[in-house]
Order: sequence, then structure tokens, then C-alpha cells
Amino acid sequence: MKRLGQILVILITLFLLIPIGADRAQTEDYPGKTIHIVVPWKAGGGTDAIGRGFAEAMKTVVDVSVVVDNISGAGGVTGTVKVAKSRPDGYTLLMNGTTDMTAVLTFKKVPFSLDDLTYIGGFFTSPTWVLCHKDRGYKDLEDFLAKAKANPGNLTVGTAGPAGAQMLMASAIKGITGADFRIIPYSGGKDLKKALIGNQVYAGIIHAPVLLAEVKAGLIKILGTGMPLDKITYPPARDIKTLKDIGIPIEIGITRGIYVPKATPQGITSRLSEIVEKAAKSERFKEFGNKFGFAPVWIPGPKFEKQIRSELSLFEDIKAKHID
Amino acid sequence: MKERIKDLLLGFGLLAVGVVALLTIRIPVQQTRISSGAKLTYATLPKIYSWILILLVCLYMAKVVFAIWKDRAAEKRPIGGDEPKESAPEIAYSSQKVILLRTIGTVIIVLAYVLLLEHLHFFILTILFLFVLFFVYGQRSILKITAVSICGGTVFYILFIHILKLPI
Amino acid sequence: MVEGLLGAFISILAPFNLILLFIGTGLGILVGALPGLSSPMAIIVLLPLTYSMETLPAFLTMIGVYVGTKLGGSYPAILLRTPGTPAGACTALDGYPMAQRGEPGLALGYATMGSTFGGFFGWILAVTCVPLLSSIAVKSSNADIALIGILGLIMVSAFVRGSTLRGLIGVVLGLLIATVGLDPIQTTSRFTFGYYNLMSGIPFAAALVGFFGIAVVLSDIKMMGRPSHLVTSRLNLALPKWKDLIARWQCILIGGLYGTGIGAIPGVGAEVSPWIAYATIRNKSKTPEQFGSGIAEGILTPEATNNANTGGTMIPMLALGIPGDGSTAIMLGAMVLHGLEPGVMLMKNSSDIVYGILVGILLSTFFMFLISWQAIRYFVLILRFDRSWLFPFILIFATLGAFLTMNTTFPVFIAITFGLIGYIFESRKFPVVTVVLGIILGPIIEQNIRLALALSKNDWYTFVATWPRKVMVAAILGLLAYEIYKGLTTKS
Repeated sequence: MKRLGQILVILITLFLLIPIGADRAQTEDYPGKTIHIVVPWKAGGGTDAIGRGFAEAMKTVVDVSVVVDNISGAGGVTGTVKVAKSRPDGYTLLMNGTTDMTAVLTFKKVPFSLDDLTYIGGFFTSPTWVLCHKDRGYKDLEDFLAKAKANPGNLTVGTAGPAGAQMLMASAIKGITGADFRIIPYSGGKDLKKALIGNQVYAGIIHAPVLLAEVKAGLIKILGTGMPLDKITYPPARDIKTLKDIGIPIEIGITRGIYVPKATPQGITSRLSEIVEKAAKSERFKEFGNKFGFAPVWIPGPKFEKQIRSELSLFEDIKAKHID
Repeated sequence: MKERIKDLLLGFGLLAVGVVALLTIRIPVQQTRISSGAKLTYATLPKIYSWILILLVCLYMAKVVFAIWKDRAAEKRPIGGDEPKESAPEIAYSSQKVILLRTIGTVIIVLAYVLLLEHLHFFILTILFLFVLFFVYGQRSILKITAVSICGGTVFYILFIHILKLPI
Repeated sequence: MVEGLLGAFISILAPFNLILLFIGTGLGILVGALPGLSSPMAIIVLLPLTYSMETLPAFLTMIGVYVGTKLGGSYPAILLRTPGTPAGACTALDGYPMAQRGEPGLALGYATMGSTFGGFFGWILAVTCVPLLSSIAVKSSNADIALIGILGLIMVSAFVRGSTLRGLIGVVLGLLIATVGLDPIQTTSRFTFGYYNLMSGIPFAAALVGFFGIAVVLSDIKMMGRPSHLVTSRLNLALPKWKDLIARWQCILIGGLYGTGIGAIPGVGAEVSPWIAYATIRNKSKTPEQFGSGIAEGILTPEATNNANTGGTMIPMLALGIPGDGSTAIMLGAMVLHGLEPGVMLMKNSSDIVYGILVGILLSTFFMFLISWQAIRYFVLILRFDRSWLFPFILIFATLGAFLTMNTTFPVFIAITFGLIGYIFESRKFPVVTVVLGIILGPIIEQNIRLALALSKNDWYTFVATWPRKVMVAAILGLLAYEIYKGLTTKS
């Protein structure tokens, strides 16, 4: 029994020393160990694919390993809160979309706010677009809205979620133009995708580039878009009119970016910004963007923060005017 | 008889669930008026389920009470009366008390493991967890327990930390 | 079609591809056999490894894992009553009693055969009926899915006939539990009591780990101590004979039909299919009371359904780019990362990959059979260990498996809670199965009924608007009447 006690003490001491030794990473050494990118969604979705594509691109820019952790739940809130509360040493990054966070902040009371994060930068922007099945025969969004006004209460517009950017966009369009269509809140992108392919709704609002393949095949038609589509890899779609073009003065799209906890020291965040910018502009990520549907962008930290904050006030405005 | 009491307790528990559900669904914390005019609201199905649950549980408890009453009546007539139907004794290799302690111990140990997961090193914690559980479950050869715990801990360490990259 | 398949077959015959498929399948069986670990988890871990591979070998590996876990999950279900994956839970109903009788080899053998032939049959159905199945997948609307869900719920009564009242209580409790979270249409918080973690509802996978892992451990603690008779006596390693299988062809047929059909309709979820198939076979059987005591039909049917699911889910994934379950969702993500464009154009643009995946499923099922047939004798050895050695390991797997579903500690607490609930229910002789089915089917039914009504402007007629729906409503009413009749005439 005494022997056992001695063995245990030795073992425990040895292993308690390991974490102490591993804590070498300082600002000058950054990055000295594996970087974890938290994607607050389940594996296999669009955000996850972008996150993994970006992780691969980051690997070409740094010497350390870059892994993706999927921490899903509560519409992205669980993962976001986890990062906001994590150690501010630059090794736990959050990769999320702007509207994912602003939409959830608009609709729910959640244990984080935009002030809990430092904004490194945005690297992938995609607008939110309005689609319909080709058999519906609408020429464009104005045509659809006209028909909706002529048939109040009959046309349906599906959204890819009951409380997200798409819902806000649908409500805003409905409120500003006065067209009385019914908003059908599907539970997720894949449900709306199925409904659109099956022609079960008159139109649908979803983030680009979902259904791009079907657009290319001629099965689905793009009616309108929340932001200019000039960066899309499918040239015929580049001239689609935006909401602003037809008189609805709002811009809605989703930018994926990297965030870290607020308390991260300045030295680390600037080094990280360089790394992330290089990764966003890398060949590897350009390749990914090509296949995914959009060319990458680079929106530096401060500009990115301004963008997300103005987006939040836009959403709160839409909610107050058109939803509540 | 003890079994019936436990049945009744579960019945009360379920009844409480139904009642609490009915009460708490009436307080909307946040609401938006998106699908206006929908016949089924957020509260419709939970209310239906709660009412059906309460109804069924009342029926269940009535049955249990009736069975208790029948047992009591049978006890008063020792000759030719109904034997109180107890379930067949199940295979048990240890006393009831030991089983109960082991059950409670398991829950506590698993809870402790989860709560300590973010504070103690995974390797040590897992070895301790296995060690303690083997002991609680009746294994007495300290040497065997230690050996298996360390081997098991190592395998889990390699599997979950290196291969699966568990983010703790 | 046939030339495409043959072409893919030939390219898969390259040794590297075959080896990967084989390893993937073996890995899948292993991952499935470990409680708490599941196919999506394993595929996610493999993803980064596959970036450096060519596309076809990468997907062959993932397909191998996907197919293997369907069988692997039933190993611990049969041996220890703790399924390794949710799909294996139904197999425990008859698999475990058969093993306890001293015939574990037979039980595992039937599971293997059921999985293999169900997989083959499902594959043939899927491949030959691609146009039919993909049009069903596309045309199926919310009303159809809601009706399928309700049909499934009625069939639950096949499991409660011994204790109707308790079974019904279980179902309603499950349905109520499933309403926790944000309302899917109006996003009102229901029963969240301020915990934002509950906003997306009770994490279903963690609840299952609790019900089928932790609850079983707690309930079976009383079996620890002296070794059971199985340890000392000679275990019967006899494997089933082929004629026993052929006599039970109906199991494979029903399993294959349900598995492929339900797998092909995105939105229903493949988890329900083995239970519905089991209920159907039980209802049709001349000796329904034998179900649950350890008969071969009770093992063959759910296993056949599980593996037929693999063929079924391929249809929406490959033809439409819509995932049917967690694993196919990740595979679609992997397609994007490998430069493919999932969606209606996948067949045209990357037909070699599509055919490669389809042939991969067939070959993987075959490998699964080979590996499993040999592995049975080793897995059976687990029964020689007393539970006091096995349970701590199972608890670690269950705990960490629950953690891995969301990578936070929240699902572990859910698992523990449901473990306790399951334990209490089992001790009071409530069938836990019914609660599980309520939790699975609740969201499907509610969401789809409300969406269907939203689409039809609150017109209930939409539920009988098409012929398939009329048939389903008739089936629901018919089954309901049958169950009530049975309930009244037999002494419950």
C-alpha cells in the first residue's frame, strides 16, 4: 500500500509538470503551438466548409498546426461564448459570420455582446439572395413584388431560418414595399434548399452561394440580391440587381471573419492580423473561393468592426419597424 | 408494497413535470410576431402534451392505488386470497445496500469527472476515475486496478487527445 | 448507368483504393462498437487526413466508416445492452436476450447477416430506383413528412402492448421533452428557464447516450460481483445457418424497403426507420409475443434497415446535394473542400465520383461482412469479463462521447440527467424506448405540421391533398383503430 502511494505521488508530480512546461508561448514566439479555430456550427455546413478551407490556407502561412473545433449549439452562441471566455493568448480563434452573430443578438438575450471580442478581420463576403424555381416564371424581384402586391396573402417566401438575416431581409422587403407575401420560416438552409428545388414556395431567401450549382444548371433563378454579386465566380449572375437598385435601401450579406477575446494583447492581435490577411490572400484560399463560389476579400479589423456594428443597428431597426 | 410506493412516487414526479410545464409555458420570455394568424402557436402542442400527460399519469396512479387497496384486502384474507404479486426476484450478487451505494457513487463520480475535466489534466483524471470506479464496483486487488487504470488511461489519452483532438 | 457502375468498379479495384475501403470499414465497425463514438465523429477526424488524398480514395474511406458503424453499433447492444450508436438500440431488444441465453455468436451472426443483406438489397433498390427515389425526395413536402412522423408514432404502440398506459406516458413525456428550446417557427423560448444552452433544445445524441449508455450501466450494476453463468459455461459460438436466414426473407425485404425509402426522404431522419420496421414485422408475425425474448427476426429487421439506410441517404446526397443525416452532411462538406459541386449537377460533372461512391457502398458492405464474420469470436470474449471491469470503460466512452457531440460539457450533463431518468424508468418498468421515440419524432411532427399549415394558409385539407397523403392518413386511422381494438380485447 505504501509502495502504491509512492508510485502515485511520483506519477502525479510528473504529470502536473507537463502543463507548466508547455506554457512557453509568448508574444515573440507567436505562434508557437497549435492554433484552434472554433467554428460554432456543426460539421458539414457552409460555415464549417469555409472555416476548414480557411484553416487549410492558414496552414500554408504558419509553421504550426491549425485545427478546427466544431462547438455547436444555440445558433452559434455556445461556441462564440466559449471563445469570448477563453484564454486571450491568440491560440483560440472564432470564425463566424457577421449576420450569424448580429441576428442572434437582435432576436435573443444572449450572454455575450459585440464588446466581448476583438475583430481581426473579415475574409469572405457573400450576399443574401432571393431565388425562385425556374417554373415560377418571374423575371426579377420587381416582377415578383408586383405580383405579390396584386395577390395579397397568397405568395409565399421561404427563409432559411426563423430568426436570422434571411428573416430580417424578408421582413424588411415586406415592410418597405408593402407587398403582402407570407413568410415561411424553414428550420435551416437544407430545408429551404429542398423546398426550392421541389418548387414548394414561390421564392426563397438564403445566403449565397447556396444553390449556385442549381442556378448554373438553370433549375433555379436568381431574382435579386442583398448586396452586389460582382465577386461571384459565375459571370452571368454578376449583374443581378440589388435591393438598393430597386428602391429598398438596405444591404444584407454575410461576411465570415476571425475574432479573438477582447483581452488579447495588442502584440498578438497585430501579428495574428498579418497571418490572417496573408491566409485570406493566399493562393490556397483563392482556389477554395473559386470552387466555393466567391472570390475572397480582406476587410481589416477596424473596418470590419464598424461593419458589424452598423449591421447590428440596421437589424435592430428592421426588427423594431417590421417585426415587432 | 415498497414497489407500489415507488410507483406512486414516480407518478407524482411525472405529474409535477406536467403541471410545471403547463405553468411555465404561459410566460413568453421573448416573442416575435412572425407567423401571424397561425392556428398552432408555440404553446399549443406543449399544452396538449402536458394535459395528456397529466391525464395519463392520474390514470396510472389510480391503477397503483387500486392495486395497493387490493393487496391490503388480500392480506386480510390469508386463506385462498390473492398472493401479493411481487416481481420475480432478480439476479443479484450483492446486497441491496451495496447496489444502491454503487449506483449513487457512479453518478457522483461521473459528475465529478465532468466538472473537473477543465481543471485537471485529462490523463490523471481519467486514471483516477477508472481507479475509483473499479474500487467502488468491488475489485479489491490494488495492483490489478492500478495496472488496468494506467493502461486504460493511456489508451484513452492517445485516442481522445491525440487522435480525436478533444478540445478540453 | 450500368457502364458507369462498371467503370467505377474497375477504378476501385486499384489496390490502394481497396485497402482504404477495407480499413475504413474495419474502422467503422470499431468506432460503431465503442459506445459514444459515432460515424459523424470519425468522419470529421478523417477529414483533414483526406485532404492530401485524391478525391475518390478520400470518399471511399469515409464511406467505409459510414457503412461499418451501422453494424458495429449493434455489437455492444447485443453483448451488454448498451448500443454503440443510436441505430443499434433497436437490435438490443432481441439481441441481448439471445446473447444472455448463451447464444451470443448466433445473435452477432444474425446482426451481421441482416446488415449485409439489408445493405445489398437497399443498394439494389437505391441504384435501380434513383429517378423514382429522387423525385419522391424532391416532391415530399412538409405535410408528407408530418404524416410519416405520426405514422411512426402510432407504430410505437407495437412496443407498449405489454404495458399500454406506461408506454403512452413515456411517449407523451418524450414529446414534451422535445418541445424544450426555441419554437421552430416563432422562436419563442420554451422551457429554457434562462439557460441559453437549451435554446437549440435537448441535444438528441447526448440524451441517447444517457438513455442507452448510462442508464443501462446504472440498471445493471446489480449484475456485478460474481461472474454470470456466461463466463464459466462454454459460449455458443455457432453462427446462423444460411437456411435460417432464407426462411426469414421478409425481414430483409421490409428492412430494405423502409431503410431505403425513409433514408431517401430528407427531413424524416433515419433514426426512426429500424423501429418502424421492427414494429411492422412484429405486427405481421404470427407470434408477436416472442418479440423481445430473443428471436432472429428481431435482430435481422433493424439491422437490415440500418444498412439499407446507407443506400437510401445516397440518393438525396448525390442527386440533390441535400444531406439525410449527420454523416452525409459532413460528406457534402468534404465534397466542397475537394472541389466538387454538390447539387443537381454533381452527376453530370463528377460522375466518376458519384459512381465510385455508389460502388464503394456495395463493396464496403461486402467487406463489412467479411470482417465481422471473423471478428465475432473475438468480440464475444468481452462477455468473459465481469461488468465491474467493463462498465468504467463504458462510462468513459459515454461521457466523452457525449462531450464530443457539441465539444462542451453541457451535453454530458444532459446525458447524466437522462441516464438517471432512464434508470428510474427502467426500475419502474416503464419502456424507455417510447420516450426515445417521442423525443425523436416530436420535433419532426410539430415542425412539419406547422410549416405545412403555414404553406397552405391554415388549411387542414393539405394533409389529404395528394394520393400518397390520403393513403397515409388511411393507414394512420386504420392502425389507430386496430391498436384500440387490440388494446380493448386483450387483457393488458
